Amino acid sequence: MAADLAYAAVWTAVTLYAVLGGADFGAGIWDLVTWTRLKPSERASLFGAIGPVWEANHVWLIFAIVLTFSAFPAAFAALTTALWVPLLVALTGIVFRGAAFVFRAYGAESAGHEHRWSVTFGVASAATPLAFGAAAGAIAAGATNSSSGPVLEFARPLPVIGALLAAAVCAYLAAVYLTREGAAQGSEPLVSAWRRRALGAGVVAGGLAVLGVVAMAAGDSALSSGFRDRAWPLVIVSAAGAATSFAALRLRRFTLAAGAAAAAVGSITAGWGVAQYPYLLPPVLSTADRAPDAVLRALLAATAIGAVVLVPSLAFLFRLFKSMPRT
Amino acid sequence: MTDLLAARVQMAVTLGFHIVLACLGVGMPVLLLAAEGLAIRRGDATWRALARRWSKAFAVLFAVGAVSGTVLSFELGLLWPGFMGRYGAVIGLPFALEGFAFFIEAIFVGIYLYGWDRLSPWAHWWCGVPIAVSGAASAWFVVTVNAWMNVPGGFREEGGLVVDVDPLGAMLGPATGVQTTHMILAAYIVTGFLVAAVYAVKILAGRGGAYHRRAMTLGLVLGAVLVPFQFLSGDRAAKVVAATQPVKLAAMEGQFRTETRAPLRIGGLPDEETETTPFAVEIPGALSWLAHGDAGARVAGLDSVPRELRPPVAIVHVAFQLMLLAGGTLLAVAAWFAARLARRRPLGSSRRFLRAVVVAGPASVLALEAGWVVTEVGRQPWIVQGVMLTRDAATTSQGVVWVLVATLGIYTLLAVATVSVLRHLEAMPLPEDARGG
Repeated sequence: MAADLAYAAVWTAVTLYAVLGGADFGAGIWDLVTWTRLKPSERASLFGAIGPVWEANHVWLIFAIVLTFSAFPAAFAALTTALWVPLLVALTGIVFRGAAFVFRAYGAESAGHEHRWSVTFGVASAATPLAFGAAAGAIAAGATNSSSGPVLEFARPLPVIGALLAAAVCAYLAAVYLTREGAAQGSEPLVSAWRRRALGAGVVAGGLAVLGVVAMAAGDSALSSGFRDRAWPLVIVSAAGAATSFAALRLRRFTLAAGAAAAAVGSITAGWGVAQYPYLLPPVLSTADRAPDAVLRALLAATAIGAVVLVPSLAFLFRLFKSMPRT
Repeated sequence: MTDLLAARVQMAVTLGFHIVLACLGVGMPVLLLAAEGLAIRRGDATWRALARRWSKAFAVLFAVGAVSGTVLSFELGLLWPGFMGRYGAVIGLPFALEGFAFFIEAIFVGIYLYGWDRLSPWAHWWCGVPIAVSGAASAWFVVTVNAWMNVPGGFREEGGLVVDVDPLGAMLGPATGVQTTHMILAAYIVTGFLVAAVYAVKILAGRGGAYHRRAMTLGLVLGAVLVPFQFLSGDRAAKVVAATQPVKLAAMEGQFRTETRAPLRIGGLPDEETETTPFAVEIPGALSWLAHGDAGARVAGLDSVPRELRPPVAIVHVAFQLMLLAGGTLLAVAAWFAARLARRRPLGSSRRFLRAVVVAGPASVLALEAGWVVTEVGRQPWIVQGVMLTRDAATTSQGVVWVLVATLGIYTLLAVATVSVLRHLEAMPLPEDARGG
């Protein structure tokens, strides 16, 4: 029971990281891929949007890591070993994304300086979701056991699709949220520019998701059967969320669009957790390899108490910077 | 270079880098709150300019500190899977609590940095308070884990399995109180003296305005008030080391032989071949007295364990001496500061005093780094004292040496860029109303 709750807590953190942190990476991806075409006002809205929240959004990742190694230390050790390369890439991306963001914001105003850190910011923002996506794809394809522990393969379809899908999803989230930010600023050019990008990225992400489903169905992994038997309602929620976000963007219901996009990404991420349950690294490590109950209970108690402080603080942060002006 | 050594150097470099930023992350909010509070209460433009400028510097330092801290949380697993796989559960609670503290910190940093114009002055000030509190709490939780590695408790091992874990007991071991106190004090002291040193440089260069003088004085107050307490806390910490990690203490003191009336060695260079510490000034019985409160007490030497279970003695002893030397320098500067204040001498008028303040900045960082070398290298070859050897914890992944090379390059770049951005912030012109003499 305690292990199941800890498993749920880990996946909650992963899901919120995808929905909130993912958009921050997505903003960086847009900064990179539209480098020559992004207008100064678009770039300003992009950096203004992530500025107050990116560090808080980043902590969901720390949280997922800490909960995993505390509650499921054996799985954590196996995952960090099997995912050595993508995690190093993701980590490098995280370092340069964060550093480049502040260097760009507070450094010398000379054009060369800003350009250098902007490019660094964009490349790093793309590298991290690509690496995490590849890691997720490799886990989806399933691990094989070797004498020195579980091994994951990256040179096959699912990790490649996973990498691209993660980047596309981040870009989609960012563009939907930025459309809403444009509306909050009352800027019609921002709304139409980001809405166009949101639809484009959403279509790409949807296509890659279908490819991923096909590739997963072709293999016979624990994850694909989990999705088939158990997590399919969440896939439907995800598809409905994506469709709703498109419609809401058209209808200028921007908060609904942002919520629906978050639901689309969040439900598929949470659905992964449901489909993969009780495995942390299928088919090798499950919640059976867990910390002693005293530890799990202490962790859950700490999480419950921490949430009492955390939830109102987060609500304050988002209300302060992310509420729509009343008209 | 072996993979084990590469992993250890990687951990040392990334931790040594992060610890400076972590200290500033704990200490800067206190200075910010002081400056902003004075600005609001007195309606003073100079204090306000200082608070605004420091909040930008803090934004840079916090972001670089957050990413370098993230590197550490990954490295625990990437470099030391054996350690985390086995003991992750035992030390999970403080890490989880630290996660919450960091979360609160990050949320209010966002509010504080971007909320200047969205909140009333006092509401904004109060949003800085959780940053200061959770920064200190983060430090407490993280150092708790290190204290556990030094004096592990709160679990048993049975047939190769970790059982009977008591998460709170593991957190509240005998080293926790002294180590966390020593580290949090260090964070404030490093912040205070580093900030003071930056502005002492400016004043020496001829910028004598109220802005620079106040900034230096505020830093000096924070650092100087706490330095004497740091000596007291260090003494308590050493007594705990004597009781719980006698081999570490022996390495710190270059004490090869177990003996009564052990001398305190000042300076000296331990020689592991001859098992002596030549060139040291020895004060007979002083180590016995400091460690156990009795000049005749028996002090365990390095000979109490086989050679392969001893730490690299010379590194530990020299680092300990450097920490004391740097700490002594800070104490002297603090005393000088107090004397000048007592005699109501203007702080900016003595170039010798300003030069001493400039030296105190790097000296505080030297003391900090040397202290970490003492506690970490002094625990070797154990990652968890007496329980797990560092070599049994290390990763078996390929290319650890190349990862180290890349890490060194990345961290050099980060350090250069951080300093250059901070210098740029410092060089920006002050608002017109804040330039008063």
